[in-house]
Amino acid sequence: MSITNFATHIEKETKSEIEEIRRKAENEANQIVEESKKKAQDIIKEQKHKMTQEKFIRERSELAIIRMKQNTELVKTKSEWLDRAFDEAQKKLFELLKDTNSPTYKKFLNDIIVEGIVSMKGSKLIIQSDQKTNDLLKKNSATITKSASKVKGDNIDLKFEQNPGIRIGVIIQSDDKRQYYNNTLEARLTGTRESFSGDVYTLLFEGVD
Amino acid sequence: MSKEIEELMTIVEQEKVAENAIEQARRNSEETIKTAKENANKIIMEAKSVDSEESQHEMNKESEEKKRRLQEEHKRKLDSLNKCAETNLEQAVKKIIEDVMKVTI
Repeated sequence: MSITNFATHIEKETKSEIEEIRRKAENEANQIVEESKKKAQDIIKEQKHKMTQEKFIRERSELAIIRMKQNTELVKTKSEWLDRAFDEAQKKLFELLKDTNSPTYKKFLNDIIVEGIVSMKGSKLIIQSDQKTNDLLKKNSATITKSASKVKGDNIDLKFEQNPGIRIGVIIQSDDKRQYYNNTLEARLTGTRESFSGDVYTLLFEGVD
Repeated sequence: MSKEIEELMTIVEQEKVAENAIEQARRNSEETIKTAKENANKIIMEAKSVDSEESQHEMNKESEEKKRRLQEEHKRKLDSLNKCAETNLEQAVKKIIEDVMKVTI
């Protein structure tokens, strides 16, 4: 090989080697960047997944709290309607039974006295009531005694007492005052509230979807 | 100096130039890889620092929509309940009065 050829050879080989070094470096650089892009995508995907999970848990808890508050509000509203129904019934009852001379009041009075007497043990009983009712009962004592004796199947001995604490209705006591039966309007309302609220509830909210 | 020695010196000189050029190519190559690594690192750091504001916003929007629907449904239920109770109140009051007036003998 001549010197000129040798020099050309060196030049060619050098160029080739430089080119090879450059090519390898570019390949490696591209690979590094591509891998980092893939890794970045995985990181973003993982972060998104984590965020979705966190959001799901947070949202579920927030919605549960809202539902709980809403249920409380529904229960409260229903309870308020129930109160309103009983309040209105009470007002109407007091209005209906305010006149002690009305046939409605007289029948009611007779019925609650007989009911009370039947529920009590013994035949000597004291009937407590407000002044007007007490007067009325004294006036009709024979009729009431007869009616109660007939239903109880015993000779009933009744005494009548005035009790200013009673508005409408009666309290029946045994002669020895150890037993009593509260049949005032307030007591009956309380009893109805305890035993009949479920029915009133159903009636009030019948048709609610 | 003989001609042959002169030519040999030229070749030696050329070899030296070639070696320098290759050395330079290697340095460039290292620089290219170093830059690529820096870029890769930057890409990963950016990915890590992305707080997905957009996705977060989208998710919050969905969540708010669910809450809004829940509130709407509740309001509808409450309205329906009040309307129904209003309609049935008179009947309920009547039944309470009947029960209070009813005696069991």
